[in-house]
Amino acid sequence: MNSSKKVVLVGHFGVGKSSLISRFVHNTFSDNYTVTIGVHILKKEIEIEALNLTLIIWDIEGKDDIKKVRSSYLLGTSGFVYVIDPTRSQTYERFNEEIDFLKINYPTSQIVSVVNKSDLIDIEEFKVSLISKNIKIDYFASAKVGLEVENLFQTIGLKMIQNA
Amino acid sequence: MLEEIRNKYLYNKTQIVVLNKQGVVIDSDDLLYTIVLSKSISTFHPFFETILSLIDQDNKEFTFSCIHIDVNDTKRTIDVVFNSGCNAVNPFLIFVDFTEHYNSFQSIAQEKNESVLSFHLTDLKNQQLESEKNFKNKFLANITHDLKTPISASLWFVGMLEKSEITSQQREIIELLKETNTHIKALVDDLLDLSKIEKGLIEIEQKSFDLVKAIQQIDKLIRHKSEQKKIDFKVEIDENLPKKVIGDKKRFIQIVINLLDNSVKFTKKGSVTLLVSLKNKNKLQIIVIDTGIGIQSNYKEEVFHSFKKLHNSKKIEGLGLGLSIVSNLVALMQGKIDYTSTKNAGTIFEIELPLTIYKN
Repeated sequence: MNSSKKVVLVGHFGVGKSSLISRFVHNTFSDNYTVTIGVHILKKEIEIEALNLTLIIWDIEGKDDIKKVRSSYLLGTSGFVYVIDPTRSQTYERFNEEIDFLKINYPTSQIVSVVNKSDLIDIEEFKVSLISKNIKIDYFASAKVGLEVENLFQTIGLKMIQNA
Repeated sequence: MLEEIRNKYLYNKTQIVVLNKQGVVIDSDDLLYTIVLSKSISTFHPFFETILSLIDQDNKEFTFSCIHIDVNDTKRTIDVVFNSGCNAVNPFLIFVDFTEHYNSFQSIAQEKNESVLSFHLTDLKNQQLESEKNFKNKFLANITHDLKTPISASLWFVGMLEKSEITSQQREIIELLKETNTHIKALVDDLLDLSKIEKGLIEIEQKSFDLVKAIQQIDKLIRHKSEQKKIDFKVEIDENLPKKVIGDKKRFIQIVINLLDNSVKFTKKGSVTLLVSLKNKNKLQIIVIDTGIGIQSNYKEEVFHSFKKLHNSKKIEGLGLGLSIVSNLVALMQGKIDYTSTKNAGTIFEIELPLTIYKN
């Protein structure tokens, strides 16, 4: 059986949304930062529980406030991947507020939260600092080294199927 | 006239695509992209796969800005207007090409974001360096402290053994043991010094001492080493040098010995020269010239970094601390250090230290 779902990666600029997608879709990574304006759309088929699921992945430009994202980009989204950069606290200062916004405005959508650039930090130390801020993260990933990238997309895929 | 301008500037910037209610393309003017008729628009680009779910809504219009649609060799950034149609009108899409506009916007955003990211990356690197430095200092202080006592004890035992009745062969072995122990002790002392310097625990004394005598002391120590390596060692002292000065004798000797030691170490043949003179009556100038292997120009920034070895030779001993200790001590004395070097021809180190003459 085939199915397709729209996944949107959200978060501040420079957190590595495009890099995560590039690692997942093409298995490539570049150290050269290229700003995303507007949206690039890519697709990749994955297999989850004997089901072929096509992820239509929207790589949208980073915004420091989820409310500033063009609403047309978020229409019909089945899953969000919220990405933060552990080296810039601004990218997760309002994390819980932003997740609540998504839950309220897109109640049927699934959410997976991700710390990218985990190769740059002491993960255990950062986990402690997130706990103190009451921030719950699903994955500590790194597009650069390929850490947890496949898993996070598999998880959002599974969540979307289970919710369908 | 208006039509002419419209054709010139707008005609090639838009495309209209008409669909049926199943999302199959039934007409397209193909002014921006070539789209195959009678196929679902979703096969053209994944973007349309996600907007087809909106087709069931009656007479609704949606605008999507700044969509990158790259198909085959055609790369454009467009705005897409999607009208879901109604009973009388088929669903349709209008593409408006804003590639140039969005490209210029991209350049501005790139510059702005890059500067922010670069600032944060530098900040992160600085934090990591600081934490590595703290770890290194703590490690150094602990390890050197733990090493110092057994090394001193070992030297004492070797000294005792030397005084006992032994054969000439045993004496030779003891000599070697003594040399090795002394070398390890010197390394540990260097490590301890560096750790103290980096933790800001070293204070420069201001006491009177005999400058000429101190230089003679240095001469004696280095001459022995240079003779062992069959290298000429010359010392030239300015006649106008004051006999007694105020400063830190121990650290002055340490600076000059470290520099000379380094020069002897890296000189296979030729000479090492020490020049000590007065500069502008209030500065002491120390110049060390060698005919050694020289320093590669790409090491300019790192010469005075601790643990930086400027060679790959395993025959040359050391941890790469000498020059780091020298530059740190010179800085503590408010002095200056610099060097010029030519690969395989030699190096000239030049130090300037503030000079206070002792007046009694």
